Amino acid sequence: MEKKRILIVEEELCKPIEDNALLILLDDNGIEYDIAETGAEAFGFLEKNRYDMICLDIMLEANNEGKAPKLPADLKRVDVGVYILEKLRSGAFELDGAAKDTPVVVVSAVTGYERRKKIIKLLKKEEYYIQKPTEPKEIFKAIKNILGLS
Amino acid sequence: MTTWPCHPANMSERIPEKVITLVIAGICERLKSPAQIMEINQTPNDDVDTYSYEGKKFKFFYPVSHKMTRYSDFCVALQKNEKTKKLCQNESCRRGLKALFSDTGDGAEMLRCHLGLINFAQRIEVAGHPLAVCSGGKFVIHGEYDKIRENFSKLSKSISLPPNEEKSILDLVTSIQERNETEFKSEFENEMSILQELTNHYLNTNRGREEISCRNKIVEVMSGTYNDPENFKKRLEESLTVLKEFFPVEYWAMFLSSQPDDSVLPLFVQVGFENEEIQGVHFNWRKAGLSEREKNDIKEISRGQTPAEDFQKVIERGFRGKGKEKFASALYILPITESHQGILVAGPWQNTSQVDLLNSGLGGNSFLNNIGRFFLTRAITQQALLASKKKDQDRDLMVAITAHSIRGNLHQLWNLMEIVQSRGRNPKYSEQVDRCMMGMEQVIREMKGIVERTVDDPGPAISTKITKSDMHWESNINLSALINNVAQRLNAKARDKQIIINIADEIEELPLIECDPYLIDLVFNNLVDNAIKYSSPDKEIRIYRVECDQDNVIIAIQDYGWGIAPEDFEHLFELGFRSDAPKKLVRHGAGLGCYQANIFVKLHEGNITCTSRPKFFNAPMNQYVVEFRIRLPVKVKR
Repeated sequence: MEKKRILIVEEELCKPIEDNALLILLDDNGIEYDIAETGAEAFGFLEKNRYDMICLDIMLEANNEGKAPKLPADLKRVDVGVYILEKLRSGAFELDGAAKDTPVVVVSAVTGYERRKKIIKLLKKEEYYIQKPTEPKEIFKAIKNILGLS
Repeated sequence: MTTWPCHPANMSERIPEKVITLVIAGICERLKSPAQIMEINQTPNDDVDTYSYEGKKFKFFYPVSHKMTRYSDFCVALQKNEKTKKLCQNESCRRGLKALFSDTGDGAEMLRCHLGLINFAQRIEVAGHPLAVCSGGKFVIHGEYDKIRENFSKLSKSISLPPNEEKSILDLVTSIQERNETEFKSEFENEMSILQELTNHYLNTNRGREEISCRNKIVEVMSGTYNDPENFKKRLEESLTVLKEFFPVEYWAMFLSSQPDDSVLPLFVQVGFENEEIQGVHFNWRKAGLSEREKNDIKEISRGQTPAEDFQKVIERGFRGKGKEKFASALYILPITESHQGILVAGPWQNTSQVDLLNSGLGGNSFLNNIGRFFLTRAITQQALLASKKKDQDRDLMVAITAHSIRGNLHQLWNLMEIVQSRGRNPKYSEQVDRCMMGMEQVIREMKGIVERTVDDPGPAISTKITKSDMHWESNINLSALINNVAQRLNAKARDKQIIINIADEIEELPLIECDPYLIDLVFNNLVDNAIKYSSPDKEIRIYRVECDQDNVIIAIQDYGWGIAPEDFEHLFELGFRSDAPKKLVRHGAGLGCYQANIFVKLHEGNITCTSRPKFFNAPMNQYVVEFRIRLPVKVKR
């Protein structure tokens, strides 16, 4: 069976990387992943790769320090995740990269009502918005469901 | 001759009286209900507005409402002269005064006047003056109209009222809005709390002196020109500019006297202004001697149906018409906003009938007092509302920042816990498990810090509210020991990044200071904690004494790592601010540390300064030396 590949967009992963329960679960289940810690890194991955799904945090840095910006420089941290999602859904990466209908799970501590409403509209399913704090197991469960894994 | 009460020569030094009148009028507007204040009368000469009770005189402050003069028959605590005393005043006055004498001041006490109208009275204290505020009388509980009419009918049998007076009172009762008693009580209590805060704030910020200064300036501008219409108009416009500088509000009425014994008739008709009490001004002015046609013109203008350029003509017609002899000069239209204009009438009265005119048509001196103050009240209450909104916003922001930080930390905790749970019993992963457990301890410490800073203590928690009187002052606090304790507490966190906290020897020789030790501990905790966060690993944080004399001590906290960008300096002490560059390093911060430290040091009349310089020419941002200097007075003037 073809291995599944996902993109994780998250800036608050533990270091070292192996101290992340979600990544351990993904490894144990043979799911491959790329990690983007900023919006610019996410863009970099999305421009070049197809993914079976994306696990997306909302609040993160837009661009990488010392590198040419890929996202608008004045984009607030709290708007970066939404910006990525909007670009994805608009087909911005479709040509050589991620498909616009790539399933997305949002995992975020952001609770603003309007922002959440906007995101759920883009996700199309409310259950794909997972509010932090939550167990890594729950996030993994959502990933498995989307990927159709038992 | 009635003298103008707002002339500086006539203004009393009892600021609370003026301010309270100002504010209560604003409250009336917001509650859409009359409100009155009772206070022990300090100026027994003024018999018009005082009430005698058990041998003491009590003074009332009236809000803006021409209807109050008609309401006096059954409104709470309004005392007329002996001849016209009517209805339920005694009963209600006693209840209102009970509120004044009440020591508990727990909340609004519901009163019913004889007619059954609802009032509330609450005792508050402003600048040490006990006041009873009574409000209401302008609403009935649902379904009680019939009962009120019945009560009125009983009472009016014992008192002879002219038939039209009886009818007009009943009409007034019928027009009173039905209100929910609980809601109104809650609104009233809220307004009382605002009243207290506003008035105290106003007094504390010497606003009364600004008001006097403003009036002095206006009088100076207007002095000696009222016989010269051309210059008078120009001066009036200048005066308006002065007033706007002091009180930026939307609506104006201005009252002037250039001589202490001038009488001034302040009137205000505003295009499109809806408030019925202000329309009442207009209606009363009609009695000042205008023809029917002119009255109707003004009425139409006040509904915003007459173009501004015609406004002048209509008013001047009125000015030239009947009643002109009562005014020496000056009826001018002044633009106030794009859509609103005001009329000012100023000048000395020509005959002795003005007292009658004022009393009968316009509700007496109180009316004159209040109309101008009403607008100043709007200024104060609007500004206070804005300030209050800003405080709420700051508080909301602090809560939001804290909640977000705690969520992030809890999520990390769950992550680490899951690894410990799943791998804890497998010796193969013992190193990882140890690391995760240490990580959990660090996260818990971080959360503890956030919670302690923002949730537990309501004083420092919402530090925008803490004042010197909330602080717990102690003398002879050993600052050296305090700094050492902070360093010791944060040592474990520093060690995780292989950072050494180096306390210079001269820190042991700091003077004993007077301070709130809890707050100063938080100051050093926050700044050293920040230094650890932003410091590069394997570096040193230095705490040393910069300067020390009998008055002040200056301590520096220096770290080597991420610098502060020049554009960030002005925001450094703002709530929620975190410099952009090193966010990767600062995972769990909430942007509260510098903000709080700054507030607490300022409360001690000290200050914090910050410098950030590259270690060497053209050094990257992660090779900067950042230093915070905290200056604390040895003794604080409280």
